[in-house]
Amino acid sequence: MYSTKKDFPVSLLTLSVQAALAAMAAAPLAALAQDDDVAALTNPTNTVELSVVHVNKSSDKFGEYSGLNKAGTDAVGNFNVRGGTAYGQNPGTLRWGVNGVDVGTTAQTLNANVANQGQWKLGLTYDELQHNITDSYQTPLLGGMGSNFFTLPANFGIINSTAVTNSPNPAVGTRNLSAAQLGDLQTRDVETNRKNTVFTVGYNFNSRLGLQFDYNHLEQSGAKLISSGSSSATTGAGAAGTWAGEAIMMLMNPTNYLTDNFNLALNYAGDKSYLSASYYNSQFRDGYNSVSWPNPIGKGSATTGATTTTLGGGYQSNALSTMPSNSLNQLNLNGGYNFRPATKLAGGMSYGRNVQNNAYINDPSMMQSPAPSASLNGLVETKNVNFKLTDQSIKNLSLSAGFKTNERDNNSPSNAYYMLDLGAGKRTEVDTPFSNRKTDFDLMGDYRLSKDQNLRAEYTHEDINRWCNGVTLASSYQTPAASSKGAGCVIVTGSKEDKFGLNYRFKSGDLNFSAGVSHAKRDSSVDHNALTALNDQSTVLPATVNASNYAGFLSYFDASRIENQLKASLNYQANDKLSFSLGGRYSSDNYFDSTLGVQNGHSASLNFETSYNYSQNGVASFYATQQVRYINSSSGASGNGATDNAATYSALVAPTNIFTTGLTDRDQTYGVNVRQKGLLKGKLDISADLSVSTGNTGYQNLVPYLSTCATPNTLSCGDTPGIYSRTISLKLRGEYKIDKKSTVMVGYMFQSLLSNDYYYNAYQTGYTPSTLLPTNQQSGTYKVNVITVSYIYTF
Amino acid sequence: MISLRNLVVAGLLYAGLAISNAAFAADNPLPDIGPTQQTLAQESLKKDAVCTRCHDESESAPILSLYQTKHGVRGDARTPNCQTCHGTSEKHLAGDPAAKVRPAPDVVFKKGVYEKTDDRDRSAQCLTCHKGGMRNLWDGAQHQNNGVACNDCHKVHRPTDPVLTKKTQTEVCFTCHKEQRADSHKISAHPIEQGKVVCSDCHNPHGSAGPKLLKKNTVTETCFQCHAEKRGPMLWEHQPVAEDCTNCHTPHGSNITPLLKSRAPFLCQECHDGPHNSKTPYAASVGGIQSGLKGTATAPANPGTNQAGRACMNCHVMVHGSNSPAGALFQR
Repeated sequence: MYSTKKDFPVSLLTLSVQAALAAMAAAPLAALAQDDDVAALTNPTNTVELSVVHVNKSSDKFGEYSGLNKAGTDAVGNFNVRGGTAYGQNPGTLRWGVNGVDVGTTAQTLNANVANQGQWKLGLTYDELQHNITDSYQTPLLGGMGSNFFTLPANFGIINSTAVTNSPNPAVGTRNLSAAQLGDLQTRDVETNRKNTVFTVGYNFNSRLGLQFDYNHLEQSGAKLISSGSSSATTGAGAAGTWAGEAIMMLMNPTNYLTDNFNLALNYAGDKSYLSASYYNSQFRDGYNSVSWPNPIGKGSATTGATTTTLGGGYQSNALSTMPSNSLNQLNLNGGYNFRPATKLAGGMSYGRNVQNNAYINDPSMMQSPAPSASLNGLVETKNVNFKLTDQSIKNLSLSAGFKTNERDNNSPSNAYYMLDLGAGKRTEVDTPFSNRKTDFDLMGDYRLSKDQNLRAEYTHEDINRWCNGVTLASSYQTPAASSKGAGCVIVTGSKEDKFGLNYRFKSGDLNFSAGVSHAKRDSSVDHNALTALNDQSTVLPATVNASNYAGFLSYFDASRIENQLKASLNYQANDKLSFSLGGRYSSDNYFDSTLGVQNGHSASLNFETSYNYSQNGVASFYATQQVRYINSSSGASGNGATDNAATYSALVAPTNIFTTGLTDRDQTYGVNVRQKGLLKGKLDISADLSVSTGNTGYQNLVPYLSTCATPNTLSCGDTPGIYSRTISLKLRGEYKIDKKSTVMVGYMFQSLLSNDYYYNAYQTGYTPSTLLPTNQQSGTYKVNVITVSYIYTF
Repeated sequence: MISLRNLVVAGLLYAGLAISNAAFAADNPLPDIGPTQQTLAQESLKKDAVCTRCHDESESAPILSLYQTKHGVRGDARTPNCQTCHGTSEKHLAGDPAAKVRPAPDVVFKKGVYEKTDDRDRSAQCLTCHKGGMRNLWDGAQHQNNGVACNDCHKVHRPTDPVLTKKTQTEVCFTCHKEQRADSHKISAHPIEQGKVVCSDCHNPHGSAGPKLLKKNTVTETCFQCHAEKRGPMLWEHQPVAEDCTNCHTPHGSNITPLLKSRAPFLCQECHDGPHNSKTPYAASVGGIQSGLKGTATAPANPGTNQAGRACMNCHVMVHGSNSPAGALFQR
């Protein structure tokens, strides 16, 4: 540090000088000749970086979120500038900062903030994110991305879904597009854009009481792909039955969304207690309430190949609803009290009201009679209460006991709706506003066996209840009729789960070890007949059928289950240079009460990582992760008895025809990185990162009751094609310090994705189902090189 | 007579005052701070000097960088000194001539020459000031239970704390959560690698009432922060959606777009085996003609829309719920 001692004889002049020097010391310390090294550490380092980025190939998958989805050269900026009287060991409390990340791309972030620490603070952030979904999607639809109304080109004509050509592989329907129709397929980039603005302000009334306001404005535009099925019942052009039902077109579903969230909180912190009361409001608005598209796929004559459809009345029109506008108001209260340093109580509660009253879309072609109301007038009330008591007053023992309950109480009205399905079948459907309550009790004890060892035991009891408020019961399912309330709406009305866990920890010097095991058993209350009164298939299936599933089938997420988990990890610092870590997890689920449905599953992961400081300024590390997952499920198949009707579906828990499906998922991730600083007399830093990630997912089906399951025209047993991906990413970077203020950075990135996914097969021209319009989407395989040259100015 | 020496001294005095005024003015364009803040700062620095006379700019770790952070704002009366966090450490200050190594400070946050202090004691230092708020439920929460202390994630002696910056936060979390690191590399993921969606956007690592340290009370409430279009309530609700998004999705990353645990029709068959085609087995047929599906003499090969591509969701598109009066089957 510095000294102000001077060697002067004591005199009036000396005293004056010393007084002057004392006055100078009273001034901001930065005014004095500060050591450069201290100044460099205590004052912010500001940077402005200008980069030129060259991408050699366009790929929406490569640039999915980074904004680098187009080939070419672009300028990108980054900056971080901070200032204020609070830096440099100054006595001030003002801090301000502006920073920008990836400025000039569609993933840019800009932030400005200023604060008088201890008194107030202001912050403003603008963040963009473009999600590039696909650059290989093709469609003949006109309307553009972001539109909710699509049309077809005038020359598109009709697709006869049953036309047959004389080729070795008969082309049918949409596999037999005309030259004009093929020519109308245009490639579109599909993306969504998010522009998020966040404003925060905080004010401290005093050292205990403060106010915080956060506001978030999110604008979303663009589109996501959504499939759509046509209705054969639609009138309009041609008579009912003219058009193919369930004809599929992939649409650009517009995301014309605005979301505004704000949170206002009053926070109090006392010596022993703290409390926060806040109000949260969220408003979501959808610019559209429907999206319309034309269906060009007509029914035809299978024998003559002629279509019975003409364009005289225009194409069949269909409409999908979009996500309804909604809002949430929520009050939150959180706090805690320290009875004494070792004993604390913390908890909170919240109450929310989520409402939705968007006008229904009016599509008479899909309804037997008008809807009972113009909108839902939906209301969901959410309630949460939680608290936790912890105590460490007994030596070497930490205890905690907690309670929490969360309820989603859906008070939306329930009515009967007399609608048509896509095949023009008449249906009476009753809406079931789902409610649930989840209550947890937990106990935990952590005992220090010795200075280095801990043993922890945990117990959790969870109770789930499910219900619907006032579900309408229509007395007849085929014609509009009077209704009454009171039907059930869920098969599994509740469950209770007990979970026990034990964990051992050892920490000594350079070695950390931890191992844990847990066992949980969930018992569900099942009523397979609970939906009988709502079962619209009652003229087809008997009253005992399980929501149209076979009796004995249970959805896995609410079925009875035994879950066992095992975890272990080891971290070892061998010496100053070398460290290792090894960890793993195994989990198994057994759905013991499910005659049908998911039967069991297990998953495991193994992680290894090592790091070696080969020099004072150099470090190399390697990591590897292996993950596997298996799920086995059983399903009852059609064909139990002579025909699928009320007489043959029975109360059999296990139907005669059962097939089983197994999911296998295997993933590996490897990474190597090297960092070397201080080359070339301390001017050059270099780094290299290589990562390889592979994923392989597949299904295996066993269909023992069907001897022809493996024939080429069936292919309903055996293995599915794999869903395979391999991503390789190599990043090289070098930073050369020209002088104190200037640095040049050169970076190179190579990234490749090899993806083989059967999902895309059905959308390729010439290979589609006969009533599915091709989109020619590709899996996103790419190889991209990126070079970046940056100049960084530091001040 | 005014001597040359007196002139020089007077000149220096004048210059010093001028410089100090100019420097003060340059650093502080705001009105006078007043003596109190200045006094606070000076007193605070004096206290720090107990430690910084040795632990100065020559340390290999940039400990003086603390003065760039909120912990280093000397004009704020709440700002701690070195000994506020590291303890008065009298033995360490006094030294022990007979010992090879100076006794350790009262609280050691990072292993170096000395062993780290117990995790709970390290956290207790921070929680003296940082109590309440996001840390309301720290005690008894997962990280505390597993021996994690505040400074295992937070680095206060650095100009910027990596875990508080979006671009670098995930590296900190992935130090322990390696499975999530592997998941973020999968073909379908949130923009985690790009630093756009980071761990703290969904999780509160300090403790929370939600499951798996989620910020909000439930999974769905957490997801609705960004995906409010799915909040509804809808006229026709899909039960697993209303209860928990993770019934179908895996938010850290998946081989199956979009962030699905499994693919239709198999995903749907985990809950349905009765209605319509959910009671039909599928295998290579899902790959269509390219996977070997062939026709017969009288019936050309025709991959079914129930199994190929989006399978069930070719028609049942509104799986998150529908607000159309004709949407009971999620087709509208």
